[in-house]
Amino acid sequence: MIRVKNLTVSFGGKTAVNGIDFEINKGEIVGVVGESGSGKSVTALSIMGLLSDEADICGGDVYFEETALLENGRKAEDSVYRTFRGNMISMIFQEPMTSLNPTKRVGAQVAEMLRLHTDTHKDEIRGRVCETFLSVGLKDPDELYDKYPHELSGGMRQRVMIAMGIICKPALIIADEPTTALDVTVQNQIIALLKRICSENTIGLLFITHDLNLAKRICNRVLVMKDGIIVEQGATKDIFEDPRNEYTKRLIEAVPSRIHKKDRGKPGKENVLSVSELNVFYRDGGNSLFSGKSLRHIIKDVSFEIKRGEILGLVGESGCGKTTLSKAVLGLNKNYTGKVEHFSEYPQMIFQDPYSSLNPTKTVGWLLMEPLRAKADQKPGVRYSAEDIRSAAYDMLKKVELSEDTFRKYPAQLSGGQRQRVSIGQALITHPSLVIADEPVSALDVTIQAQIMELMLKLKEDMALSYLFISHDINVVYQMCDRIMVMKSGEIVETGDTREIYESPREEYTRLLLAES
Amino acid sequence: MRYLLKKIMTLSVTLFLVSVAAFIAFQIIPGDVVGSILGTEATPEREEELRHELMLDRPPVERYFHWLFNVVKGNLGVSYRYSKNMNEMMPVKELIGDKLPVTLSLAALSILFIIAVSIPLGVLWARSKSRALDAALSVLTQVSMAIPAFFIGILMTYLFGIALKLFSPGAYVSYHKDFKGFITYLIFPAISIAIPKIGMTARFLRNSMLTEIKSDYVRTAYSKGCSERRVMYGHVLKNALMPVITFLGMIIAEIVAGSIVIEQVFSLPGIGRLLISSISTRDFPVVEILILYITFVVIFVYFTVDILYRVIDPRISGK
Repeated sequence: MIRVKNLTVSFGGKTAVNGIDFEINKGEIVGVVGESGSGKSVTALSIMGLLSDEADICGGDVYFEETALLENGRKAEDSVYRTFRGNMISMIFQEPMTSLNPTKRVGAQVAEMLRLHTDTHKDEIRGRVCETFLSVGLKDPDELYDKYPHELSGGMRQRVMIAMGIICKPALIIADEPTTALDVTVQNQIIALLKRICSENTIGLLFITHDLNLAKRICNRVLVMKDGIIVEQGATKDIFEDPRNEYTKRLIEAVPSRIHKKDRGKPGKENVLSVSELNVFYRDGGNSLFSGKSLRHIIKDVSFEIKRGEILGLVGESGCGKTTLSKAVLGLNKNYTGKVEHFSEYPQMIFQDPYSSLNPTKTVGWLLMEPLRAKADQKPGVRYSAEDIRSAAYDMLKKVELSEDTFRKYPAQLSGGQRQRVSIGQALITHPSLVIADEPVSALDVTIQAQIMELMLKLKEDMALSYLFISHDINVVYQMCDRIMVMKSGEIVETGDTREIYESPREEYTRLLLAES
Repeated sequence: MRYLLKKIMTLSVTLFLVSVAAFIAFQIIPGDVVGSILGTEATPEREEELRHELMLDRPPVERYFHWLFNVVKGNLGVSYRYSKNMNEMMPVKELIGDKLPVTLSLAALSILFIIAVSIPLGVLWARSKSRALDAALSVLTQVSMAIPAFFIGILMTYLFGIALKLFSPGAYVSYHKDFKGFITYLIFPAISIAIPKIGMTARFLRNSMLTEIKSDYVRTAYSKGCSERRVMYGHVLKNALMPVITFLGMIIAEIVAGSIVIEQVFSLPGIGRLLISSISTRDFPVVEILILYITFVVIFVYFTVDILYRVIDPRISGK
């Protein structure tokens, strides 16, 4: 149905997609897997003719049945694309939060598809949209029609996107990481829905993902991409059970799973952190003279402790209060009751997004030295010479396995994995005993993820650290943690040793979380 | 409803504080009102009499509350400087009531021009793919922003008034007599006010749209098969207007409070000119009321912007 031949796209001289060929047949689900920068999304956008102006299509053809959308690197007329987009090929994007227009009612946004591509009568449009809402599992469609995107949850928004994608009965849906921004439980529902809808209506699906587990579950056929090239393609079963390509093998191995976990030494007896009956609040309301203030109760009666050398995992879905808890523990949020006792100095934090959590105007060296300077400022007794600080920073570079010339580089010159190493270095340079890591590997590709996890474990041994390890990824947590707390709506529903929890979860919610991934 | 009540309370408190500040300022500024009203040759008895009449022999706090009480009742006091006839002093209410329609009509007209021109211009600019158009608009708006309004006013007077004789410079028809003629006299001043603001607003809107175009929902809109025009007007414009509205609010507040320079250049008897002459003659009752008027206008415009925000962006009222 769709044929892509020798497609080559570059950005400012850098090749993003390098001469790829593939086809998608009617009703087939084809997965494109690969790490960030492998050219997955560029491929999808070139089929739709949606690449930005900076992109340079150097060559190749894209045929939809008999129509050429791209021939010898030349795009078809805009009007040709317009009749295909939405009508024959529709697209679902990663971020349901931002992919819908925030100032238009969701019903109207779905209805726009009908207005653009069909001559459905005005009076029938609402009915058609509501029917489609029902078919993607959205309840009370009539009420939903008049809502705005911000009034819906992430899962509902993605369902609305799917409704928008299927309402004109296209032949192909391109889904670019459609579930990456969603919680695991929701993720599964959306995957099941996509699969059902495609098979019911014989719609082809091009499913782009970095998550190999997902591709394995949904796709008939898989393409593995690396650096703009398809390194391997074949039936899903063959690829996963008998990968031929070296890179494919590495990719599959790097996926965190619950199979291999090394045994580790027992953590010590003494506490580095003890939290009892912690309740954390957020202040609501404006800062105007007359606006009322109210406190929102986020964390409810949480008690736990972390032993020296222990890695305590904190899992739960987004919005359950994981980050709020960590902020209160660090003293960044003062609106709490209960007791937080630190038995070590300067607990530190590692953040999720290494792209935005490092100051882009400073060099890596400066960033690494800053915590020491701050420490010297706070404590009158502590004095470091400039030379001490410098050598400590170089030392830290070695510890996080970065080369010495990184010292003078800026964060923008580093890859995601390197940046996360810098964040780790920043956290460890003051020699804390406790480090709070808030989703430290969630923004990274699987192969990088594995390296960072390895590094964190090694540093834990070398520097006698304890971690509070926050993650939504059950498998990552399984590999990293000695003990796990499961959090739901601000409460700890279950605590226990990692093995225990995974093998015999007591709570229904824990079981649900585990089953979903 | 609660929101509205809160806003009204903020408004009254602000007005109160501003009026106190203005009152205090006039206590500090040197110069004797009585002296300036009666001239140098007045007898001490007459001076004493007038001082008593104007309550200037009372303590300031008492005077302030006396004044405030009257204002709340709707009695805005009398001007120290203008008089209705030989025996009667000019009430501030009448004085301002006479000038306000001029300033408000001028403001309305220039705001109309600003909105009607800058929005299509900004969208056109954001959509422009040709370098020449982009450069031309960039230079044009830059120039329009750089020229002071009064200079445009002088140019207009010369070009349309003296050379083309479309209006007679310096003349003015009262709105009581000939409303149509009155509006024709306002057109050129309004254009003079609008031109620099149009440059700024168009530029601002263009930048806002270019930022907005990078959003994910724009890509979604294209993927649905929308034409570029439809994406721009149907999806991007409304979102891009958000910051522009705040900016427009600032401009509108400035214009409604009186365009002093333009009123002077075109000899229009508006609020701006009244304010200048009252300050220089220490006509305290007039100045105080004008300050309150300006404060009210500014707060009211921001309040309207707030409401507009809520209308445009459902996320704000949804909270």
